[in-house]
Amino acid sequence: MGLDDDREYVDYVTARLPRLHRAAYLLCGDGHRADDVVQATMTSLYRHWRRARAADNLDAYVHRMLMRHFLDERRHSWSKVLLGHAAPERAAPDQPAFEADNLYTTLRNLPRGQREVLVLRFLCDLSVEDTAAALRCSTGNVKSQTSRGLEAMRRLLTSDGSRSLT
Amino acid sequence: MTEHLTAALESIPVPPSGVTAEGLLRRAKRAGQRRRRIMIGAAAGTTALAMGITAAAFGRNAPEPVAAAPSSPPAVSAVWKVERLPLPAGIDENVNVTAIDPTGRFIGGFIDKETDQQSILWDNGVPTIISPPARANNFVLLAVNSSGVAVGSYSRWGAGGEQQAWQYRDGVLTMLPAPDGDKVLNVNGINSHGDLAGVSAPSVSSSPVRAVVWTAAEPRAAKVLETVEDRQFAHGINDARFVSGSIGDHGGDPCVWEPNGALRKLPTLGSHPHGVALQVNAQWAAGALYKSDTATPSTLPARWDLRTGELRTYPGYDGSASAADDGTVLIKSATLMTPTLIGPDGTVTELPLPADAKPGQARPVAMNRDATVVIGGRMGYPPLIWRKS
Repeated sequence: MGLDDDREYVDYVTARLPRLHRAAYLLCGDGHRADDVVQATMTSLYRHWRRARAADNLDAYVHRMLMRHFLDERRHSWSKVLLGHAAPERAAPDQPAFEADNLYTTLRNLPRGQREVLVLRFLCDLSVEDTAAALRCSTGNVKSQTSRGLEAMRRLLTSDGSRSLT
Repeated sequence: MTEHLTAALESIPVPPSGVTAEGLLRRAKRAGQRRRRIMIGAAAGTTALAMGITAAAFGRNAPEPVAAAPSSPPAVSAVWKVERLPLPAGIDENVNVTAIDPTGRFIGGFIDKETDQQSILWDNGVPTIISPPARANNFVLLAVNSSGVAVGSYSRWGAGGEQQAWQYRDGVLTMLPAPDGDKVLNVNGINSHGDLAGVSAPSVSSSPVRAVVWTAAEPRAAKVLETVEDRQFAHGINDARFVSGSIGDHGGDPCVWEPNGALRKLPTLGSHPHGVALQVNAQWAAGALYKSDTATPSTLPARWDLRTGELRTYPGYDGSASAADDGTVLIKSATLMTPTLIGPDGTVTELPLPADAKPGQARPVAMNRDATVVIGGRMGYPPLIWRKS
């Protein structure tokens, strides 16, 4: 790629990196693995940059890539990490808020499909159709997982009164 | 509610990331150069390339490694063949391999789906389904030994994150006991005697996390290994009962517990002062080093000589390593374009890709003790097995 392409790529990545890292972390539950997923995604994006930037919705395109690399990372790292998945991460500096910890724990305790759908739809802001494409499932499946996930989050979060989502 | 959920997701603390746009650009360019080099090498049909690697010594923070520059492009080996691993009848997707025994006869894996997960044990290529207990979630086979004894873990739906460790022997699934009433167990390694290594915690959100072994002689007694920190992880166990692992999370220290239970920290590098020993065999422990104790992306495959304490790293690669008996390492990386073995003399062997896979689409998972059988996969496709002819 040329210098202009590189500059465009860096501009795009700079703007989107925090959100992509957050999405990857909420999917993985592990900062290191989130970084791995983001790096793999962005390496692929660079390789396909000219095609990608022509996409109707570049963010959705990148989120689909992120999801694909997340699934790839997960399937290759099941061994050795189950406990690491379940165990809490170190808190980010100066942000040890109980409420946020509780949100994170609640999200991690959701069934995997529900968690993935909620992150893609409500953090990554993907449509039902784009979420279905990212997860390689039907739109009906996305809708039902969304409904169940929202209900579970509402139930879990309001059971101890820590936060209301209604 | 949905606006609140978005705000809630954005409020969750996230560990700092070491990834930068400029770093990604450099990395992507390097990956592109490597991919082109591989394609050129494959087209030329040449053989492997020697690459100088690291030597370090006992003690932490050894000098920075200096790698010799490759003298010619590495090439895909002609003595390795890749094929798909046979799947159980009626199963055609979402199968992942996770483990291979030292002889290469037994291979373990699991079917990754939302519910009703099952594990699979292959014996000489013939798959057998291992069905989970009722209400099991994440039923995953994690290790198998040369007698075909498989171990793994699962969590239970609605059990608040409780996690059980299981053993499958001669068609019978049994649960492993937890020490001190702990509710979260994970078993990661098994040796040829049937001794097991794993991790135990009171709950998913509390410490201590302790390294544990279950000996074949006393399988109903979980033995906690020497504990010096709040979070310790056991990953592998060899036939002499050395246990490899780490003290602390990913940013912790690589270590081995000796057969008498004593803990020995393994050396690291000044640039990568932390790490984990994921696997251990007769002479070698292998795993990865990490750049720092914060969430940085830079990992370095590493191998330690248990006899001398020598650390060897593999600059130019990221990810982790597993070691064969002769010291050959398999590089396990999310970004490597071609499955790669590096011999004791630094010879690099790149394994062939399936005909329908592009560079970067096939990833290795594990290899046998002779470095003659490698297993791995490609997303959305049946698992792969590479054999050296």
